[in-house]
Amino acid sequence: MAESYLRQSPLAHRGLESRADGDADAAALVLTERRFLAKVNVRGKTDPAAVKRATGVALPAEPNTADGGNNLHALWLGPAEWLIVGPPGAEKAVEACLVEALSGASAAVVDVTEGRSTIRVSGPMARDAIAMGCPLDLHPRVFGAGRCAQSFIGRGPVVLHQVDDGGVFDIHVERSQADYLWAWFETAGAPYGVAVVLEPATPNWRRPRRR
Amino acid sequence: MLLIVCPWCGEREHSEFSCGGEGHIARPDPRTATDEEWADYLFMRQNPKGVHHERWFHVHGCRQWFHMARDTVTHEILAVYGIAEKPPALDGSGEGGR
Repeated sequence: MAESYLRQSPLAHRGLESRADGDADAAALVLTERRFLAKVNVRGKTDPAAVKRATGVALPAEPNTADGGNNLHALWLGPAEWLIVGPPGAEKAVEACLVEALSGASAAVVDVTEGRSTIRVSGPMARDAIAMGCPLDLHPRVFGAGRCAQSFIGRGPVVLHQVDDGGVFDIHVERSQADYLWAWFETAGAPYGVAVVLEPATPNWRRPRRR
Repeated sequence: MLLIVCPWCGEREHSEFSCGGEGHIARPDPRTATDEEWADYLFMRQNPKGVHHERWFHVHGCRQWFHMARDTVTHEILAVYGIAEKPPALDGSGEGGR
């Protein structure tokens, strides 16, 4: 793990703080960097009940869906692979909880926080903008709230997750491609108006209370 | 452009996949195989005109391998089935293996 005081966002050089005074309500596309979200990758034979007890979020069994609970999201990545996303700084605690819950099981729990960055895309043009570079069927009938998928946008592989009914998408992208993807969205949204919004502080993650 | 039905993710575009070549190639026992059999195993492929059983990899999706029966003339996908499964009987309806 990178020491937290050395941690730098791959979008730091873009000076997003100074750009975040635009009119987000008038913009068709709203971009937010969700900085340093905790990300833990879980693979293998997992006991869903144990994971739910330990973290407060269930690992979805249905392909390409995500589950949310206790400030965490669990995204289906493969038949025996999930990505758990949580608020910044929670990665060590979530990892420890999962290691404890899955001890003895044939499973792997890996902190991948440093590996991926997250860009949140919202606004009325969000779905159309993503569809410009993504081969997924993004019609709300097919890709609605709580759906996630791995695909690519432009030339970069991403994990796409529709967070809620309001058309808010979290895009988890390889850290080295975050700048490329940000630039791609700026270009895609340029004809319609792009606003940058800073993320409000997120509550810390707490381990669910034991019975 | 093909639309491929991944056994896990459902219908996805061709660009998310990578073709792994011919499937169901049996590996001979290296202790008893002749050089000819080994060379055949390593290098010789069928390249048929018509139905071809191939392995595909959902590289930009769930990263799972699976088998596909595809007509090399029409590009029609006749069946999609698991990586450990034997080829299904093909009735030409295009719905096999789902």
